[in-house]
Amino acid sequence: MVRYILNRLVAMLITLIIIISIAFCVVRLMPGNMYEQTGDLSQTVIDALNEKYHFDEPMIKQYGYYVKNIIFDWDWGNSAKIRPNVPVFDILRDRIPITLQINLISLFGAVPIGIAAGILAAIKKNTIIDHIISFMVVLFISIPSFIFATCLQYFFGFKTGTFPIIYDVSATGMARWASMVLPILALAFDPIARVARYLRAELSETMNSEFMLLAKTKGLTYAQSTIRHGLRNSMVPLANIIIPMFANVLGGSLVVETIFSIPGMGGLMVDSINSSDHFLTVAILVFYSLISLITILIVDLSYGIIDPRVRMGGKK
Amino acid sequence: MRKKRLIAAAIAAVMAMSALAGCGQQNTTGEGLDFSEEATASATEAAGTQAEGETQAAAEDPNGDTPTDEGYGILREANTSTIGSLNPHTYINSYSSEQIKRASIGLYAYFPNEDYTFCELSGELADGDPEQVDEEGKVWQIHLKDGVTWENGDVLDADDVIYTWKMILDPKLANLRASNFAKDVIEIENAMNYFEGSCSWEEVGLKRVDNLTVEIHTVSMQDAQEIKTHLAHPANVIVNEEYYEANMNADRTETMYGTSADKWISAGPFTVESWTNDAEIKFKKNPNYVYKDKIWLAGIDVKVVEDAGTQMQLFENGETDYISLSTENYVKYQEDPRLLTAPYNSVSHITINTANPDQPILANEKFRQALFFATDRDSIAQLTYQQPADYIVPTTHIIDLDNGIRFRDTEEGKANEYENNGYDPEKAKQLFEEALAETGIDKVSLTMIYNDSGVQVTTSEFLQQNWPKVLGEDKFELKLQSMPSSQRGDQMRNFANDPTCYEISWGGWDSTDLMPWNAFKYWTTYYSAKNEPFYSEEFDTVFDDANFGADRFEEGVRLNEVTEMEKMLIEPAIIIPVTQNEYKYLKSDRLELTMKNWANRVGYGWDYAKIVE
Repeated sequence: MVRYILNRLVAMLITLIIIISIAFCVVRLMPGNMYEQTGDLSQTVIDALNEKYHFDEPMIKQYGYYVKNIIFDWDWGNSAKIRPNVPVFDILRDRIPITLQINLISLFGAVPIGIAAGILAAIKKNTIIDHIISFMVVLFISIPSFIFATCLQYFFGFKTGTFPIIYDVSATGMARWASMVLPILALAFDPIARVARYLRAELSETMNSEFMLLAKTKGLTYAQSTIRHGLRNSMVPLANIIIPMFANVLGGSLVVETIFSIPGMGGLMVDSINSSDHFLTVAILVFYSLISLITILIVDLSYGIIDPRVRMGGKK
Repeated sequence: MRKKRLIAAAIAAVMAMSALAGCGQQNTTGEGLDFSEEATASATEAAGTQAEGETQAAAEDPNGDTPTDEGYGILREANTSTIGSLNPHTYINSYSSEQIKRASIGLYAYFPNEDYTFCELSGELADGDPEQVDEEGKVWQIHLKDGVTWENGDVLDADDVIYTWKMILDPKLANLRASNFAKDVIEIENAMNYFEGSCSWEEVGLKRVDNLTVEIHTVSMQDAQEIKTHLAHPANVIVNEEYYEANMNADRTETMYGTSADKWISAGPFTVESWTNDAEIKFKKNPNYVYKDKIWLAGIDVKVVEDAGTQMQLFENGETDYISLSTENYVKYQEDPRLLTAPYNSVSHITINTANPDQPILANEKFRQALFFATDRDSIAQLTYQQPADYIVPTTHIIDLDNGIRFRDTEEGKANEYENNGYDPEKAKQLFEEALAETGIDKVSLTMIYNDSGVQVTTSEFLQQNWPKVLGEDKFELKLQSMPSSQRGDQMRNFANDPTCYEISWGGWDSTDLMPWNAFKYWTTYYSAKNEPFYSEEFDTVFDDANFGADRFEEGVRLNEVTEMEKMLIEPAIIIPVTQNEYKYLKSDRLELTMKNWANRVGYGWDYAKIVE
């Protein structure tokens, strides 16, 4: 197992280096000069800036400086446009906590509700309860989160004033929590539906398995057999969708964050590309890649933990 | 039974939610665009009505007779832009520069005039106008006010001014805003040479005379107004040496000055109370500010709210005090008495890549003129709620500052305009036929690149339909290609490397409205971010004469030169002006403006307003 993890970590590192290299080249190959679109800059200043950041040199040399700075100084560069002179990872550090907070709360709320709804739909299959849950699932999946966000904001923020219209960054205590309720709700509908739909399908199939029949004939009650055997077996494939969900929360939601004025990760990538903030763009790409790679590793390793029958890296 | 009712109620609620899903505030459909004539706004009238409304002051003014040190009431703003940095040497967007001015002091600044009807450019840290020292008008001394302090009480003197200039021009820092010292309104002796590292600081024409006097040496003869205009630029506000140095990196190539509240200190009208990057900044009245008696407000809270619908809800909910209206929202509120309008400081125009080898007809003057006369500006203005413009110098530009005369109001300015706002379909058709005959082309198919949002979409789509109707649908075709604004800008400015990079597109330069002669720099040969391949020695000569010529201060000289430069661009249709935009605002009743009308440079003077709640 340890050897397997080490192998995967080395592979991850190689993948990450390839991603950094590709990201660096792609961003540099984008048309236009980083400073020309800033407007009203003299050519002398543009030339000086290009020289300072080595943009006037061949791309391979620029890449060399970039890698050298990372290796020797752990310097990933500074933002040039979004927040001039601020180290790129400082920007990410400022943005990630709020995105993480809202998305994690939303997900921690959504997963149990989704699991409960999925179990209920599976054990009450083809009843009115199952139909209602299935209807809600279709609704929650097919209606995008920004529609929910807009409606929640309009009804509960603007019309009734139950919650603040936007996220209040300077509020403290309950006021801060109150301003987080609507975006959390808006983000929760989709994971609730996905988890419920997936679990319903898995559990329905498991419930019809022969080992479930055996469990019942051994004297277990319906509830005992469902929880001890049915649910446990159904949870293995569910890990496949829940763990990536937790990883994706770091990406934030562009539209929901925009609607509720949350200064999170949502729009940062688009903003950095649009403003030709090259160092920041590469840093965001690297960050997302790293998160994805770690997620894949965790998913793979989690199989072995959730289901002992799966042995990663074991001898044949 | 009860269970069933509950279920039915739940289903009904969900269905109602989904049915109402489209009724949020986003309004991204074309609903707001009224294609009828009735939709034309009487915006300027509304502005006048509003100004009268301002005089209905509350019977009991909680502000008192004069502003107190603490001020009264918080102005609440919401804006779509973020403030990347308060460092005047590195800021990127104009919105940042507005916030920098709020929390900084400069040598000179624009203030509302005495009766709050216009702006005046006067000393902020400087004590009076610059003093001419030599006979040629190349050496100017600026005296500083005594006793001006930073928010922490430290004294601000000539050393701070010199340090600011030295840092903005520092070759290792290579600050973006060092551009402000390149040849523009004025040119400082050796400033850019120092920036390039080719001379020492002692050779630069920026000197400390004594503790309260600094001296400027310029390359050309200048007048006091030009010196003041240059120094009133946000890039020239004074930085604090202690904070600037404390946030400098080890090899002195970057400083984090002004990137967060703890890395910033103010000497301006407001101090930064708190700042959450990309979300909110709170300003508080600075009791140490030299003109604290001009500021009524206790503070300003600025929130970043990118979504126009959310901004509207905040305003309607009484959580912000004014709002900039999108076209869609303007349609709903055009009759609202709270409406204010203000002219844009630029004219939206079509840029033409005359050097595109794939479209040789773009180099044909008659063809470009045909497009000029085929442009129905009145209809476009009605569709987009803007003003038609067949001119380049916007209505905001003032040619005679002493007498407040706008260029567009002069006889010369009017002579550059056409009847029917330049729309003449017959003439356009005739010129088009002549252009086809001259070039030997049967059919023209052009591609216009435009922004994927805003009024450019409406305008471009209108031209796609209208130009073929005027020029002949069998002979002319306009294709549209949308892209993000920044990408479009990059693509256009790449014409020197790739002449086929674009055919026609959109432009609009925001320029110094009190110096219309300077606004033509964008078409000079040496401008660094040109949109179109227009190079004319004749044009450069007129520009240089108007900006640096020995006779430029003589009466009527600049007026004639501005007229000539405009003519040189419009007659051969180097660009095709289309509309002059308007800002549209809604203002809450709790906010009372001290400005009696919109004015150049100070606008409606939000920072000088009162809260009368």
